[in-house]
Amino acid sequence: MRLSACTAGASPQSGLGVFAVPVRDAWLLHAPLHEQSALLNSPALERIAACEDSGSGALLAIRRALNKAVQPPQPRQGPLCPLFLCLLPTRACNLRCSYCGFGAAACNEPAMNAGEAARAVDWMARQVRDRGGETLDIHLFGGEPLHAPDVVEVVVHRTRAAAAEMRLTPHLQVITNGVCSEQRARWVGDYFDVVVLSFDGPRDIYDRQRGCCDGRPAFDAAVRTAAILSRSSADLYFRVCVTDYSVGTLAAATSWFCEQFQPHTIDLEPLKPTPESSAAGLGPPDPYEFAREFWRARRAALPFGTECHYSAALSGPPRLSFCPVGSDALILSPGGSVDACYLLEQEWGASGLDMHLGSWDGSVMRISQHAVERVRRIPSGTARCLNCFCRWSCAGGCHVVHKGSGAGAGFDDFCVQTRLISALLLLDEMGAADRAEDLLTDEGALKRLAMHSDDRLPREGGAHA
Amino acid sequence: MPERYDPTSGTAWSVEPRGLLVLPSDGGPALRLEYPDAAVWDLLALGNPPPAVVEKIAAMQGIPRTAAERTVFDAILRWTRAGLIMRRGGDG
Ligand code: SF4
Repeated sequence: MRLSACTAGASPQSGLGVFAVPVRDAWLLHAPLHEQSALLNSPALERIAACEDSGSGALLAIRRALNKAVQPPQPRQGPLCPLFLCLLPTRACNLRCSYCGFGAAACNEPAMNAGEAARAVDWMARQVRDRGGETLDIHLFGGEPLHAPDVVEVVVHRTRAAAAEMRLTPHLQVITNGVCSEQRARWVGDYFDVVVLSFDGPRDIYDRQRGCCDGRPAFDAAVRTAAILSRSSADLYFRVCVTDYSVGTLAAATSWFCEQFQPHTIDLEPLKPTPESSAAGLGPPDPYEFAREFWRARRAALPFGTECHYSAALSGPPRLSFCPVGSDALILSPGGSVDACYLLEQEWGASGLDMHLGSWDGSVMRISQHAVERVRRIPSGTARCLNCFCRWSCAGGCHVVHKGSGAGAGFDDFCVQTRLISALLLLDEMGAADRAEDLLTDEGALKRLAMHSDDRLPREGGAHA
Repeated sequence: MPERYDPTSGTAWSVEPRGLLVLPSDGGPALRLEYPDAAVWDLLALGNPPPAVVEKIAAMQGIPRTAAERTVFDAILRWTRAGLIMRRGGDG
């Protein structure tokens, strides 16, 4: 099929925001900036691409919607306006997960000073109040934050006290492995609004991928915590690391999570290989199998009202980055460094990136506006992303881990699973789950969609084959 | 065993948006605790010995240790007299 470039009446962003990918004998049109998605046959797509203002009803409506001028997401501008403050009370951890990339095993850095952490919360509360905000959003991550319980207790109460003093609403979120005492689990459920539990599945999966520092299994404590949290007022999320070992059981594991703990959301993320994961004989799942199993898990969770999520896939409005980088989030490390990224400095440094924003000495927050601007402008994605219908959702994936392999490089495993899952979610959203099921049974069609080299519509003078 | 103060048996409490609500075991009127008292109650209930509570309240409020001691020991005295908490362990 030949597609021509739009002329009169065309959107100035044609080719920037309008994409189409093959779904068996049809085309999935996706124009995130215009908020349009549709499943079309070839003649219909040809008409859209030819800018024909003819035709009837739905097609004409889509064509007209695509003619609207749209603005792609832009980097933030102006003074720093942090969305949330994330404290890392410690980089150390009580577990030794075989795939951990956060340096917990080698951590000999002392925990954060509790008083300095509390003053950082005060600083954030003043920021929110002074810009007329309403919510004091504090996140705790690590390492394992509950491995530094004294800091966590002080931070939680300081957040609530500061919010009360400044008439703000406190919002507390923690990402934890949940391997803690029964009393601590109840306390977490009482005080946190959102608890993200890193938990990989039923016992056989869990024990294969995770364990305590001293080699003891951690599963029973994590289950007890999950059960306590599921009865608490906190929103419970599971964060599941999916490996080549666990991928085949994803739907069963999801059913188990839902039956046992009724979580709000299950976040399914493929393993990012580390030397530790390779040494443990664990690898990332095959991207096609991951996409298929993600879909099955999503269907399994549906009757329970639980959402299955994959961070690089479509969710919400168009974005420039799928993570907090560029959104002015501040990550405060135990040593006082303030960064835009959760990962260790060695990692972003090795990728040629500088995520450093400033420092906190316990009383003064020194953030350079120059650093803020630099991070806001870290380019999202690589040349291949320009052609990809996931450009404004995946936005290139992790700036550090999913390094671009250069201009013109083809789609890698990350892209394959992201493109497939995004297409499946779009079909589901438009009420075409049966088409998604059909697609999953057709190996050739999956490959054509995943490897479709240029999704832009129209392609300049080229065939859309 | 170091000195600790536990809520008395039957005393219940719930976490409220701006503090805590304590419900005495004898059915007496509910006690609304705001900050910093809400933190003192919670830290004692978690099993922190009083010196650790003082340390944490000083850190939390950004106040000198002596001021934190006053906050903590005043609260302990009030709640002990009201029969809401009782001492466990420690000498004497
Ligand atoms: S090309 Fe790959 S990294 Fe870029 S947006 Fe598409 S899926 Fe994401």
